[in-house]
Amino acid sequence: MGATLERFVSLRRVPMKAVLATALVSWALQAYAFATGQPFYLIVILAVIPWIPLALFEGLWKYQHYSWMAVFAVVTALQVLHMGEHFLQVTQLSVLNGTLACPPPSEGATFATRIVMPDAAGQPTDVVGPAACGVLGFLDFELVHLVWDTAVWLGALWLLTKFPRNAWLWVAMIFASIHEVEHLFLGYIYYVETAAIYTYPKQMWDLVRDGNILTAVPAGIEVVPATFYEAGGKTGILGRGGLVEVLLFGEGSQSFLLRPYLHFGYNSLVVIPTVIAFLVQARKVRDEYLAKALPTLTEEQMIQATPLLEREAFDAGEVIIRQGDIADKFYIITRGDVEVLREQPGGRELVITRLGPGQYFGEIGLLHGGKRTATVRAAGDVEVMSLDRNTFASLMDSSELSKAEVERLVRQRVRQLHAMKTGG
Amino acid sequence: MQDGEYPVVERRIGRIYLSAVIAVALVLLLAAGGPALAQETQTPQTLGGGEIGYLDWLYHLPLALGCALLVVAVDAFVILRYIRGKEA
Repeated sequence: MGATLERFVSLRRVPMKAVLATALVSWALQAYAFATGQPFYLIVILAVIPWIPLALFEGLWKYQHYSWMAVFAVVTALQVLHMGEHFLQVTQLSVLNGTLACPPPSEGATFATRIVMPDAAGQPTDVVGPAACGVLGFLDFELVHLVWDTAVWLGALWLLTKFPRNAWLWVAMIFASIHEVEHLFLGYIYYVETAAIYTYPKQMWDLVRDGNILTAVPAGIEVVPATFYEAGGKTGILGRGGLVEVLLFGEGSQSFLLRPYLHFGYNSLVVIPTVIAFLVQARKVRDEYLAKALPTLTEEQMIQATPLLEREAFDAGEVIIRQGDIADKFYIITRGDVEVLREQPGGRELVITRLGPGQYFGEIGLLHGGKRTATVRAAGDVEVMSLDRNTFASLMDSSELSKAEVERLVRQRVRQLHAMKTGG
Repeated sequence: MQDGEYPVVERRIGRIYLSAVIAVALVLLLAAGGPALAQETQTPQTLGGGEIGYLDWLYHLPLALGCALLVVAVDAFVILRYIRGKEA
């Protein structure tokens, strides 16, 4: 499992110095946000923004190599992050004595970071905690969850079209669908039913500032006009006091889960099968460049060889293999072009051919003679995936078709070399 | 699968999908009319200035069913459309 995850988590394209520079920028932004008393969600957003370009570059590399599995990884990560959002909210609510007031009371653009918990009459108690809104729930709570859950639902559905035999993905899709029904309902009553034709007892707040800390203090309850959503509709279909509970058990029933815990449950039921589905599928991943270079390998052979591929990068002009050296690796080009050179008597170099992404070299020395028959040099910035001698030999032994195909290319290249030697 | 069978399946899927979408549209229209109906009939639990109650939730039952149908219709369309696809 470690190797499976490592393939998706480890950085293959982005250099370490870029990671360090990004981390410095991210920390600087976080420090600035802390120092100026920015709300929690903004601190998190500022910390994440610098990583986006790096994630895109790395994601592109993984998509080029692992195809739809890279998208699967993104959907899984999205769902795990969403679970983190709900986990934080439940922790704020039940562990840190938080109050469910989302978005929290605000003074201009500044949200209260601490809330004094109100009693049944809306008056202050001795308990103080955070606003139990997760991170992004500080923004438009319904919009954040509607967009996020719709993305997860459609993502799971789309993945099913790519990996229809993954049973865990079916489980995840079913729970994501149930969750989506709830959010479509909530989105509709939030955005469409805007007439304030109901009333509800609204908690009022006073705001007290102490330096950068803004605290909301309960200031009694007022009965105010409200939309269906505000008057209690936000509990939704399966929440406490929501549609199903009221219709089945009457208005006084209080046996269903409160909304934060219900949605924590929904997400647990989606994220657990999603992660398992990803891990199951990740074991079957194959490198697309290996598949392009040696298309006659079986799916199983490609899956077994993929984790053994090693990424290597070369600058323009750098020699990758040198004529006469002992052959020890097989190379598949994944980015850039290389020049294949034959060293002539007197030190002159003759360019035999140029190879690009998806093509391979190094096979002649491995299959015949043991020594490199030509020099291969990077024509620009080049990235290759290499297989060691033993793995390559094992692949050729286990695939007669691939061996025949590689031998055919070897004969063609040897004839080309011979023609060069004889001046033909 | 025999030659010519797939288009028939496709057409059947299309019909099911369209029927589902029409059903969803009707249900959603009914749901959207719920609160308006409540205003016209002066239901005490709605326009009487009170908090939401049983009838208000009952008026929203079609909306909940509409949402469920919409999700099921999209799921069914995508699954039926790609069920014959090969695993990547």
